[in-house]
Parts: sequence; structure tokens; C-alpha cells
Amino acid sequence: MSALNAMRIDKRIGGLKVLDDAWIDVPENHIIGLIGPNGAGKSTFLTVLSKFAEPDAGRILTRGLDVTRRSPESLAQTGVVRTFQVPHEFGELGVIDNMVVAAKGQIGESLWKALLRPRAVAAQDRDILEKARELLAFLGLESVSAHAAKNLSGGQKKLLELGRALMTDPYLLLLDEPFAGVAPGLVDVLIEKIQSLQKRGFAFLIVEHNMDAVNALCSNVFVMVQGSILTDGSPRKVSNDPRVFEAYLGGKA
Amino acid sequence: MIAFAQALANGISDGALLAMVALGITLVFGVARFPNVAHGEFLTLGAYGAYWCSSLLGWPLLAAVGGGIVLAIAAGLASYALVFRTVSQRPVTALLASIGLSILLRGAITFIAGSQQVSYDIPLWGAWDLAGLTLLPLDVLVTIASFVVILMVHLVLAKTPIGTRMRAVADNVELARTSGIDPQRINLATWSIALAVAALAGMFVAARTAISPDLGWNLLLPAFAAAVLGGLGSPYGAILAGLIIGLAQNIATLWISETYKVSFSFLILIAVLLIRPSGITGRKEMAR
Amino acid sequence: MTYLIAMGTQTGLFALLALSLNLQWGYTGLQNFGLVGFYAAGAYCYALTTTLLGWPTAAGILAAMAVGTLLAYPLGLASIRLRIGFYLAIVTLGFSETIRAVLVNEDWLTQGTRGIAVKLLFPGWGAAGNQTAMFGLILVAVIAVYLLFERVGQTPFGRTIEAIRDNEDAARSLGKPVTGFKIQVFMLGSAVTAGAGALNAIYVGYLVPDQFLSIITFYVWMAMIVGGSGSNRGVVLGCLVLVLLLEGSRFLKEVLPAALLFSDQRMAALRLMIIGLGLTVIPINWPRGLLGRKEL
Repeated sequence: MSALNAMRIDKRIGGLKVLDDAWIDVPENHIIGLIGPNGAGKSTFLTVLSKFAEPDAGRILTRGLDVTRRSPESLAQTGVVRTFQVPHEFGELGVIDNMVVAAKGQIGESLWKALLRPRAVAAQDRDILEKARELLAFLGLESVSAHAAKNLSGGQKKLLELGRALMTDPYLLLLDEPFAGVAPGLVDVLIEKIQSLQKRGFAFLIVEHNMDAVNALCSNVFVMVQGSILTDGSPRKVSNDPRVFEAYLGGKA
Repeated sequence: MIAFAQALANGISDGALLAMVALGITLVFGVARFPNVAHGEFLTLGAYGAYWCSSLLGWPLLAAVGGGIVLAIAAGLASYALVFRTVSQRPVTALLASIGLSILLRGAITFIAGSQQVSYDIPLWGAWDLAGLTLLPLDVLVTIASFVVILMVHLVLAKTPIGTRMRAVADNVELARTSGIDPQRINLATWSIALAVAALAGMFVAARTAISPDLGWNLLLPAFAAAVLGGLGSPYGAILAGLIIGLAQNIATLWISETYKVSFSFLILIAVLLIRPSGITGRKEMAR
Repeated sequence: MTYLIAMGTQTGLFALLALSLNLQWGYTGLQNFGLVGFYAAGAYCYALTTTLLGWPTAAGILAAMAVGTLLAYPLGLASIRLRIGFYLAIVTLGFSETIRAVLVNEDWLTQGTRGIAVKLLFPGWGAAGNQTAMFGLILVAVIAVYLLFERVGQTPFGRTIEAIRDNEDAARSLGKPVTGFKIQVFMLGSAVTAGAGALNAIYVGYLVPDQFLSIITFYVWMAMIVGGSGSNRGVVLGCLVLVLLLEGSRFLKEVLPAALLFSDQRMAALRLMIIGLGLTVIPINWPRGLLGRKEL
């Protein structure tokens, strides 16, 4: 069973067909790449796959479950979480609170329980806090854990978003250009972290332009051109495919 | 039967006016991306402007109408330049500012003109009797004029180059910009048209009833209901929805009290949001 | 002295409204512009249950809060689940206008513009005694609500609603049932607003629909913005500023020379202009207010 399986996805925006019979398959515990020229529809595809937009046609399944008509939060609860191209941090909250708030199954999110069972809530909070600190350390963000999230650099915000997503114990992460805006020296660090996460059992679908990252991480790469999947294969096979070369050269910006 | 026909006739008159107001709201929403709560005040300013020009300055009809339009456009563009342009990226602040502006303008009008009602100096024509149906010539005139204005806006939107650009910007600003359209100029054009239509709507309402500082504010809820029903940002949706609500309100008064006319549009608004939030024209990005 | 108590009571009532609004807007980002509608519903509910049905005071107040919660639910359901926040603004604005229309028209129940009288809380204590008692009661209510909402803010529930305010899509992407949280907050805030309405009913002793004009909603928004949205302490402070402004404008008329003697109507209009100007300019140029933590 795949972590994510989408087929025959169509999407129209204002009369323009931005996704045309698109498909994708993300096996469990694999890192899959989605590349393509600018304007190909990659981000739109990710938006539809994460259910932040409705497909006009097609089906989306995760671990065999049909989620085509689910809300984005329902899909996330199942274990598929996304990050955003432009960082979506909880700006006024501190970095540590950004992490803590993401945890699933918090008793204290029920107002009644929070007011009537403070000790149980506090105990759970302690566990969540510990997990948050571990993840922040893993991501190298422990030095800024007390800062307000809006004050972080762009690269730090993206790491925070990754950490937040991990707090929900997902089995699949959809990353929208995680390497965009990351300083060249830190690209290798981020690659290492994602590889390390894969060893822990996570699956990834990564939309990216950074070919070094794609080559280093992905076992399979999908190439999207003008809303459709041109081809898929290993990074080496794809980069040697003349059609892909042509798509990037001749494709509309 | 007669009562129904009467409600129908009144509904068309009310509907045409509502269509004009809703059109203005939706045009501004299309470019500014927030609901302008102060829109009603531009109706009021148009009505008062024409009044002051004719009663105080003694101008003839057409000049006074022009005066009202100029006043509304001047106030509206000043609001745009001083307030709304600075908050173009912050829709909530823009909403708050429009509420503040609405209170400010209504207060200013009350301060200057007092809160008593005044009326235009219009000769009283006898009502026409059409097989039991009572039609006021003034109402008929105003309704025809409303449709003329709506038609003119349609022609601008559909047939002129600036109208096409206005629709492009309202549809997708980024796409329009890459096509070489200057959104700033189009914003000004859109606002001006919306304000002119608002001013005329204000004068038409004032001609049918009377002029008071709350003239525009009282129409705001039904007009917003119409704009939402028609699909926010869609001019043709607003026109259609205005007519629908005007008719529905009047037909409803066959069963419910006259004073609930305005609350009726509130119910319509709730119903639309529950059933089909994107409105008649169904622009899904507005709702989920 | 009685004047100070009156001012204090007025501040307290505004504070209850402002604390409710702060929970909804400051903490959660809900654009509620219909506060006065819930306030009126609570006031009239209290008046009717205690005079027509003869219920005791506590029951009347609870009934008022229940009515506030029940009215909030359909409004929230219709508008909160929509992607864009200003649908709630329009719906709540329409709601408060509609409530007033109902209060005026259904005069078989509400006595309409004739007004409805409300029993004194302590019939044997006379006017001054009751006013002081009401001040005390409202003060206790303000403290209780303040402490409650501060506590709410510290719970995981409070953390999550602030996250929703900061970035709703991010909250959804983490699996948070955003609409459910928002509706809960809307209902809780409306319950407190309606309860404040009940206290108001006891305090003024006589209700007419014109006491519940939409300008009151905007007064509270002003108080919240000036005091600092997001901060409970700030909004209470903002209410103090508001009441001082409102009372101050009354004093101004007596202190200023005849040269600036505007008619009552003109003074009222001038006051509206100042409120309008404030509501326009302050959110743009001073979004944090006095004690606020967040940008608008």
C-alpha cells in the first residue's frame, strides 16, 4: 500500500486547466521528488494532494483510504501533513509553542477538560514539551526556542515548519520547496536530516527545484510539465531523459 | 392577485436600486478585496450633494445631479488615497477602517446637515392607476433610470477596453499585471465608476423617499446580502441578486410585517452562506 | 461619589463586553461586529424571564447566557466555516440590526419602544443601595471573567486558538479542527456578552431597543484596539479610556465657553466623528494600542 496514491487529477482555475490527468505514487518510507519547470503546476498539485483545494476529477488515496473529498485537517489527522512554500509559522507564538501546539491528541484542547483536569493536562504538556525540545535540538533550533516565531530567518522558519509537522507523528510529509532560500552551506545539513528521518520511518514527497537535493534524496522522481506528469524514474534516468531536458528549455515560464 | 402584482412592481423598483448598490460594492470588492462598509455613505453624499446644489445653489437638475456625483467621487477617492490604499494588504484593517470611515462620514453629515429628513423639490405627480395597480410616476422614472445606469455599466464592462481591463484585474491581479495592465489606474477607474453609481443610487432613493444621514447605511445590509448572493466580485451576479432580493423582500411583505423588510435580507444572507456561499456565480475561491 | 460608582459600573459593563471581544478577536481572530445584538438579547431575555415568568435573578442571568450561546451557533455555523473572516463581520452586523428590529416589532412580547421595566435586585435598599450593589456585582463579574479568560489563554485550548489566529491554514495542515474551535470561542464569548446584557438590564432598570444601537459594538472595538487586542488587561484599560472619553465629552460642554456651544445633536454627531476617526486611524497607525501584543 502506498503512503499516497493519486490518479487522474484534473484542476481548473478560472477557466485554465492547471492540472491534467496528473498522477503520483509515494510508497511507504520512500522519498519521492516532484520537479518541473516554473508554472508547471507542482505547487497546485501539492495543494490539491493535501486537500487545500478540491480536484475537479480524480482520486486521492492514502494507505488505501479514499480521501478525495476530505478536508485538509481530516487528511492531516490521518497522518499526511504538508509544509508551505512561503513559511506559515504561528508568528506571535514562541518557537517552542509552535512545536507544542502541533501535538495531536492533547486533552487540554477540550476546554472543559483543560479547566477541570489541570493536572492531567499538565502531565501531558510535560511529555509534549520534552518531545518538542528533542525535535528542536535535532533540527538545530534549540538556541532560538524562546524567540517569537516571526523573528526567525526564512531558513529557520522552514525548519520550524518541518519540526511542527513532525510533532504530529505523520507517516508522510509533503514538503513544498524545503530547500528554497536555504543557505548553500545548510543544504547538506538539511539533506542529512531528511535522510535521517527516512531511516526513522517517515515518507516524503518533495517539490523541489534544487537538483542536488533531489538527486541525493529521491528514489523516484516525477516530472510535471503543464499540469501533467511527463515521466517518472530514478534521478539519473530522469536527468538523462531528452524529453525532460526539452521541457525545461522549451517550457513556458 | 392585485396585491401580488403590486408587490412585483415595487419589487422591481426596489430591486433595481439594490442592484445598483450591490454593483458598487462588488466592483470595489473585486479590486480592493474587502467589503467596504462605508459604501452606503457615498450614496448619502450623492443624495445630499444633489440636494445642496439644487436647494442652496439653485442649480438646475442635471447640474445638481452632477454635483452629487462629484461630491461622492471626491469623498470616495479621498478615502481611497488617504485610507484604503495604505491598508491594501491588510483586509481586516481595511474593514475596520471602512467601519470607522462610515461612522465618521455619517457623523460629519449629521453635524453639517442635521438629522432631520429633507426632500428634493420634485413636483407631485398623481399616481397612475393601472387596473387596480398603483404606480407612482416618480417610481417608474427612477426604476427606468436605474436600469439605464446598470446598462451603461454593463456596456463599459463588456465593450470598452478599460472595462475589459477592470474585469481582468478583478479576476486575477497578478495575471493582469503580467499582461501589462496597470492595476493602480484600473483601481481608480473601478472606484470612480462604483462611486458614481452609488451617488446616483443615493439620489434615486432620496427621490423616492427622503434624504437623511442614514440613507445609505439603511441599505447596506440588503446590498451586502445581494452582493454575496450574486457572488462577491461578480458585477452581473450582483445585478441579478439585487433584483432577486428586491422582489423577494416585497413579495415577503405580503405575509410578514413591512418593518421586517430589511431583516428579511439578513435571512437570505444566512441562507446563502449555509447553502451556497460562493453565490449564484459560484466563484469557489471565496468560500470553502 | 455616586457619579464615580456610575462611571465604574459603566466601565465594568464595557469591560465584560471587551473581554468577550478580546477572546473572540484578540485570541482567535474572529471578526465579531454584532456584540450589541447579543448584549440586547441577553438583556431582554433577563427582563422577560424575570418579569413575565417570575424567575429568580440567577436563573434569569443563566437564561440570558444560554440565549447568547444558542444564537451564536447558527450564525457561527453559517459564516465561520467559510474561508474568509469578514463573512462573520457582515453576518454579525446584520444580526444586531435584525435583533433591534425584532425588539421593536414584536412589542406584544418586548413592549417595543414603550420599554420594559426590570425589578431591582434588592427592592428594600433604595436607588443608591441598588446602584452600589450592582457596581459590586459587576465588579465581581469582571474579575471572574478576567481570571477565567486568562486561565483559558494558558491552556492548550488557548494555545491552539492563538495558533489558529496566527495562521489558520497551518493549523489545518496539522489536523486541528479549526471551525470547531472557532465556533466554540464564538459561543463562549457570546454567552458572556449576553450575561453582561442581563447585568445591564438589572442596572438600568428599564429597557428600550434604542439602548442597543450598533455604535456600542464600535465603542467596544475602539476600547479593545486602544487598550491592546490580545491583552485582557489592555482591553480593560481601554474601557477606562473609553468611558473617560465619553464622560469627558459631556463635561466639555459645561466647561467650554458659549463660543463652542453646539447643540446636543451636534455634540452627539461630533462624538461620532471622533469615534469614527479613531476607529479609522488607530488600527492603521497604532495597531498594538497600549498593552497589546499582536499586530492587527
